[in-house]
Amino acid sequence: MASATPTPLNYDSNAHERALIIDFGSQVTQLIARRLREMGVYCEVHPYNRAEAVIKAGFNPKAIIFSGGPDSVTRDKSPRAPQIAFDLKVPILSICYGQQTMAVQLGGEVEGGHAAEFGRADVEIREASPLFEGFWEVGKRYPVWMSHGDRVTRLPDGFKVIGTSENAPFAIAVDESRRYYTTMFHPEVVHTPDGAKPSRTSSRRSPA
Amino acid sequence: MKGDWTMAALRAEQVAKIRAQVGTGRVICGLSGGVDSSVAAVLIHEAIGDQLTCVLVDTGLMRANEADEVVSLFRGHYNIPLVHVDASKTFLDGLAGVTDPETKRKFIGKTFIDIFEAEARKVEGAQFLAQGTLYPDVIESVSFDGGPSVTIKSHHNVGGLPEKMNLKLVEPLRELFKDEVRALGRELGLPETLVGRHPFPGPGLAIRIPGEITPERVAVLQKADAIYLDEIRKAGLYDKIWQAFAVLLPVRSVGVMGDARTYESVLALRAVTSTDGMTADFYQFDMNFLGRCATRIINEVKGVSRVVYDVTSKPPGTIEWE
Repeated sequence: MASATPTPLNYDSNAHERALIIDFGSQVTQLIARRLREMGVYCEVHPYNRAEAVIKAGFNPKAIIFSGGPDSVTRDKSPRAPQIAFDLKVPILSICYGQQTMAVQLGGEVEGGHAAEFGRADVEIREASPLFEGFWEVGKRYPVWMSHGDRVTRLPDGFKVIGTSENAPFAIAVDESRRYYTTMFHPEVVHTPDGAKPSRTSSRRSPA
Repeated sequence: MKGDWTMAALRAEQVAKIRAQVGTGRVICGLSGGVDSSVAAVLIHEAIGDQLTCVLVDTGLMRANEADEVVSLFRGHYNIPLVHVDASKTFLDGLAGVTDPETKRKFIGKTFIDIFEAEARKVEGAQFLAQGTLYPDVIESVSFDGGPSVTIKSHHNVGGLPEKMNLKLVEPLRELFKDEVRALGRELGLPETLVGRHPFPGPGLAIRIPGEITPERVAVLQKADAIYLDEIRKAGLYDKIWQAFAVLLPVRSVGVMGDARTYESVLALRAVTSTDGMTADFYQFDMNFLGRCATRIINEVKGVSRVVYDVTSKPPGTIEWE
């Protein structure tokens, strides 16, 4: 039954808009898909090294999400997102490892060896963003679920920090002009109570 | 994005897709009594009507009345052509004297495929086999030990039958998660008792009777399990629980009923909560509830003299006992 080429399941009809989840191997990648489906957005999960072929096969995503993953972007030959994901000029939400690979691919820096942060953390909102408009307020703190060792130490040009936590100075960093949204925490898990909402916003932000 | 992924839209889209794929061909669909195969069958029937033939192999190891319920729903309510094969004697005869769990599973799997194949060959001109494959079964996973991995689980496959009989697959649920299949089932008007049904293992009650399986022990377990599920439904707890079932243990225990001493089997009750079956916690029933179940089971089911509750989580335990 195994297919040799990565064929997207739902690309041959114009019935639905589609989001693409590029998987870097996180244990909770499927939860991203579940959250999007619950919001009425069709999406598919494909491994980082097959995503380009899926896009070229005609998947035509309206939005892309980079998942978390167990590797370290500081390691030689660690996974990267395919260039085509950026070339499509659609909104991208990147999570944890996804945030880190996006940062280094766009000219930022990531370092290991910082205090690891696992489990619950509080993120403080510093600036307003369409990412959480209507449910997270500037100046307030909200519980989120973190799981990481490495962290971004310098953001690429165009990005700014709009949310921080004690061990994650770049808990939420965005580039509104390119519609790139990045979180160090995992918005897809139920331990992040409002977590589904950022993914909804980033998907809604995509032009119809 | 607009949020245009709804089960109503999907229903229409899948009906069109199935018609386009199948044309005037004939489709065989195995029914198990579970959610996935039922939703797939009703959806395909909506698309192609009597070009679909369903096959229900009754292993004799299903829950009490389950086979009859499936038959009356599909034949009676939906008027879907259904072949009901009562193979319970074949299964129970073959399991006589078998105590090893892996041997039980292998025997049941192989026998099921043999019987299903024999029935499928009777459906003249069948070109397609329907399967309730779900999206988590087809997602490719990331592998870090060398190159892209293409790991596709095959537990939904009916044992190599497509290749053997040269059948093409119809898999209308391939894009869906389990909760979406349930939503689609509701959209198709399937009864809530079927749509919300707890998962049930392929080998059925055989793996809930550790040790030797006899027709008598199957009957005891079916009765006790039905009482337990009835109490859970009456207490309004069924939908809060991922899976609940009884296990008939190969242990006997002394009891006193009336003025007589009894020496009958111990029955374990199991109920777990979970979101995906990968991890699970035991369900924290009220003790009065468990007491009520125990009293009813011992009074109403001859062959059980003691009831215990399993408080193991997964991990380290598993949901099923073998």
